Amino acid sequence: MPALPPSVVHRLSALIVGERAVAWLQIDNGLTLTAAGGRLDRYGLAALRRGEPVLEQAFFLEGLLPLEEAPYFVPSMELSGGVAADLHFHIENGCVWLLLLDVTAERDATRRIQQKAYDMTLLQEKEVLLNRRLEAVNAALRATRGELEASRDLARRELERKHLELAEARTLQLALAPPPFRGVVGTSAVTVDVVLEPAKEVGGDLVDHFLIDDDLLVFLLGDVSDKGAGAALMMARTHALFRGIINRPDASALFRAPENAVRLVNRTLSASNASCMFVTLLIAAFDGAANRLTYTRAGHVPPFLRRLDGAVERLAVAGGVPLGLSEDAVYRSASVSLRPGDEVLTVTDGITEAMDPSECQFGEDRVAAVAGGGLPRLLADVRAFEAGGVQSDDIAAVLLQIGNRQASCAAG
Amino acid sequence: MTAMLQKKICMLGAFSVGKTSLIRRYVSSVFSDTYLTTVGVKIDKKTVDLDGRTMNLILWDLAGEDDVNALRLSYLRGAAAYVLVADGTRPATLDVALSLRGRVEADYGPLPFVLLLNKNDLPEQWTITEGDMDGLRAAGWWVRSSSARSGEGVEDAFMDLAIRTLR
Repeated sequence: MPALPPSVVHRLSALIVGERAVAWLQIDNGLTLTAAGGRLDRYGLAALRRGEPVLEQAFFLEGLLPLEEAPYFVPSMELSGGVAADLHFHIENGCVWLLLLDVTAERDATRRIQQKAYDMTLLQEKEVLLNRRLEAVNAALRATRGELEASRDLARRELERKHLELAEARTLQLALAPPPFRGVVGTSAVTVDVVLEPAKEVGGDLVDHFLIDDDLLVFLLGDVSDKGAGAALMMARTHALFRGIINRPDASALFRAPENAVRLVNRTLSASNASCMFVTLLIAAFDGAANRLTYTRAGHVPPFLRRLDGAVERLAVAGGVPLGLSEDAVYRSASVSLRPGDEVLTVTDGITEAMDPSECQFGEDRVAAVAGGGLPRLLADVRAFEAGGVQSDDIAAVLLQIGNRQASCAAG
Repeated sequence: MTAMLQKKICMLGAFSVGKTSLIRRYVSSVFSDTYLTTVGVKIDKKTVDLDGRTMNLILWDLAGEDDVNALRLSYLRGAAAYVLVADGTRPATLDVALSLRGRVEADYGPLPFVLLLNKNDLPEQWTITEGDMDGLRAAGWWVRSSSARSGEGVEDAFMDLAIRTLR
């Protein structure tokens, strides 16, 4: 190093000693403190005892002595009171010299910068961590949403399938309702009109009519005690059972005394009726030769008989309990004579119990009042009464009208 | 007169893993949530009794390692043991600890050490698995979880290390 002028050396020495609070220790080979001086108090070393082991007094030197290389430098060591010092070791005349230079100001400046950098880094780490957690939560939400959408799609497809099945069932059920009849039974011209409108896709109302021989027209109207698919199956079963009797050799006898047909069907229905449904039924057989209507009323709404002169009677003789309740139920029938111009209207309670917005029922009196106006008029009046409300029950009706043979032939 | 038994123990680890807090908990039984970074090295002393023998543990709290400031390995000269500290809520600090251990062993040989996975008082943020710890133990490491906040695991770790310096 080029020699410095004494004035410069002196000035540098003064600056370092003054600004760096220089303190010094001299330590011999036995690690005994032989001398010390300078600003020892600055570093908490004012009480050093000369002639005693240095490591017991300046514990920060533990591990550093004996010195393995010289000169040796330990930067920025924080000692007592928060003071930071650079430690400079060198060896001269067999002794270790330690210089302590105060670097507290530099340490503090570095700490401020380092603190900000670390705080920023920690914030970034937290941000990364939070983002990862958010992504995990988002992924879980996406997965859940995907599962929900899949479930919804499955449910929608299932619903569509059921709607389709029910629509097919409705078509099949409505097909069970026969077309209107226009013809001669015995010596009488007869018309039969029917209505069947389930409240849901399918329903539990049963309507049918058919001829036995040439002189007996049988019609029946039933109402299963429930609504929906179960009732529809019960209705179809009941329908099938009656239809099955038609092919029996004794069909004529069974239907001419319809309580016999009812008894047969009831026995079968009651024997295997796990769901405990029952069927109210009105079955009637019109003998066109005798102009007599024989009917069995099993818990059903009494039919309305409107005479030619407009008088309305009720066919109210009780024939027995609804079908399906008891295998041993006993049924009987009643008869009434019909004349040309008479008509018999049979309805289910979906008509008599149709409700207006104030929950008043359409009632049997209103049915009686519109009897004679035909089924379209009856239905129109019920709809008007409901005033747009939801149909609460299945609706079915059968209208038997007795004319004369000549009029029927002219019409045909 | 029997010479005073003194051992230099260094604290190593990434920044903000709790080295200074662990020493404050061990030496002064206090904890502060305020994070104050260490520059250079900070010296503390703890006197312990080991079956009737008094030992001064001279604790060198070294500035944490980061991307810019590498550990000055010269600080470990004369160390009898060291404590590796990682933050159990920051998995990257375990990588730093593993790296430091390799460098220390390369320069100073197999010194006794313990790995403290600190901040176990934050279980909801904990990321280091028991499997990770078991793997290190299987490799012969002394691994402890600790909390400078609660003091859990702190005293035991230093005492274990002090005993091992005598072997």
